[in-house]
Amino acid sequence: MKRSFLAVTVFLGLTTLILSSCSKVPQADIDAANAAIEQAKLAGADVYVQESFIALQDSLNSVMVSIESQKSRFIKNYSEAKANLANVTKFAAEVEQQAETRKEELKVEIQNTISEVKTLIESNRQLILEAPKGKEGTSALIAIKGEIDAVETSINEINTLFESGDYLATLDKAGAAKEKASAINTELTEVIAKYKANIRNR
Amino acid sequence: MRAKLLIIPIVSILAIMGVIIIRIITNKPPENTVLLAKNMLSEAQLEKSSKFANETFQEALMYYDSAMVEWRIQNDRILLFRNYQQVTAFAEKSFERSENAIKEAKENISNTEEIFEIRIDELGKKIKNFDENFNSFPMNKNHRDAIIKCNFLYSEGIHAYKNKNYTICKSKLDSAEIILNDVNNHYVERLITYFREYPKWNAMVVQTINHSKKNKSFAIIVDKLARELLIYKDGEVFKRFTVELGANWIGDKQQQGDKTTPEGLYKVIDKKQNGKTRYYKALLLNYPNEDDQKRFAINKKNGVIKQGVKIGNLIEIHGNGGTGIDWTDGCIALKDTDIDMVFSLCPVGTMVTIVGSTKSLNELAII
Repeated sequence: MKRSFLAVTVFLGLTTLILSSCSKVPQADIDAANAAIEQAKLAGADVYVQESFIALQDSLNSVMVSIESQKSRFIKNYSEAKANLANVTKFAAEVEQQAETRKEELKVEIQNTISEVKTLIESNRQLILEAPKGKEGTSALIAIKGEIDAVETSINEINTLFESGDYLATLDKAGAAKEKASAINTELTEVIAKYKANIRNR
Repeated sequence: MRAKLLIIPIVSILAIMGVIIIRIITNKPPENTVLLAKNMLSEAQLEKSSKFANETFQEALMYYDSAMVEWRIQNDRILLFRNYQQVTAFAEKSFERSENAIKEAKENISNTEEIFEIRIDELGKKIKNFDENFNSFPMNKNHRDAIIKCNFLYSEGIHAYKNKNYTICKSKLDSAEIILNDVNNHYVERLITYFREYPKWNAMVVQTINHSKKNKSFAIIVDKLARELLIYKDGEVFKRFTVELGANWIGDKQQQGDKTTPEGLYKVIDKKQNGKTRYYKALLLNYPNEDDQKRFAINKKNGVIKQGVKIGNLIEIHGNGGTGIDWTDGCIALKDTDIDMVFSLCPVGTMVTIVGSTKSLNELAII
């Protein structure tokens, strides 16, 4: 009887030991997921694909909760957490790619805007040549030339900002430059039209 | 007896195991509470709480981290001695703070948007006012470039606002406002200085109107600031025309080539047309009059005007205007259709009074 009691105790003890400690926290998978998230952040995911990045962080947090939850149990099972961590790592790579894609889209948009601004500057310089040369036109042209020069200077600033990798701020600046260049174009066209009409009326 | 002795440890073991099992069943990990806290934290992030309710959001984050740390600590303890009460408390606090952060952020975003909308609107009005008040003022290159820069920054600020980059928006609007205030103050001071002559201008205007009334004649008053030429008939305004002036029109003409339109009492001394003027039709004024000559002589004597410099002449009211800018060397330009009318109405000898303004600064409400 004493023997069988001991055997039962040893069996229960071993079973407890096996069930509670044979399953280990998947630390390597956690580290891999964290590293992948850090990589996505380095790619600018937190800036350029903010919502996806928040979702990514949330998915890792969910897995961490499930891991702690398993750790709290008498019988632990990390297989689901492991699978989820692999999904997080995969998702992080996707988010990183999304950030890269968004950056590329922004780059194209900025370059297109810069190119439009350059075309407008060229057109404005051409319109200046067509503008009235008499003293009645000179004052207005000096002011407009100043504005064209300012737009041209801003292109340099836009390029510097572009090089720094701050694409959102670059796009803002490029958009403003385009607006200004377009306004100058309209103004010049109007000045020339007014001048020509004036000449006709004389 | 032997069997009885065995019953005691067996019952004890079973009792301990029973306690353990009850403890395991009753001491459930706070998974749901932590998950709720996590979800709310995520929502708070999506609502931009880290930007617009940062303090509360950071508290929520800190409580969530504390909950997770405490959970790990408890999990490292022997099953029987684990206590998740603190974990639950932290998670609940995190949930509550996240909820508050979302509310705060929504309110702040709405307020921020409103504040920026008001700021953009007000700065836009200030820029427009400056443009209306001082665009026609002769400006040096630095000021012109500053205003261009101000417009650029303002435009960039609006772009940043539209893209919800409020920090950039603020910095752009701040810079634009500093530049605008600086240039605006300069021109306001200049205007105040210019208007010290107002009593003199007013006296000349009154004199001219009285002359027109007394002699039942036409008289011309040119208001430089308003860019207006008024024809008076029998002391009453008969016609108004828009004019263009010398490119450097502020102040009284001092010398030849200063591109300033003179100020004072003049009269028409000749009428030119049919090829006698380059500017369609022209009324020649008696500039320089006696006052101009005296002032010129004094200035020359005092070294204000260099030796060899001439006083200038051939100040006319002429055609070829209508460009919308000040472009003459000191003359007053009108549209050809307008000079036709002025030419036909005003004979040689018509009184022409040129003043900075017919209205006081208070009446103009520029400042």
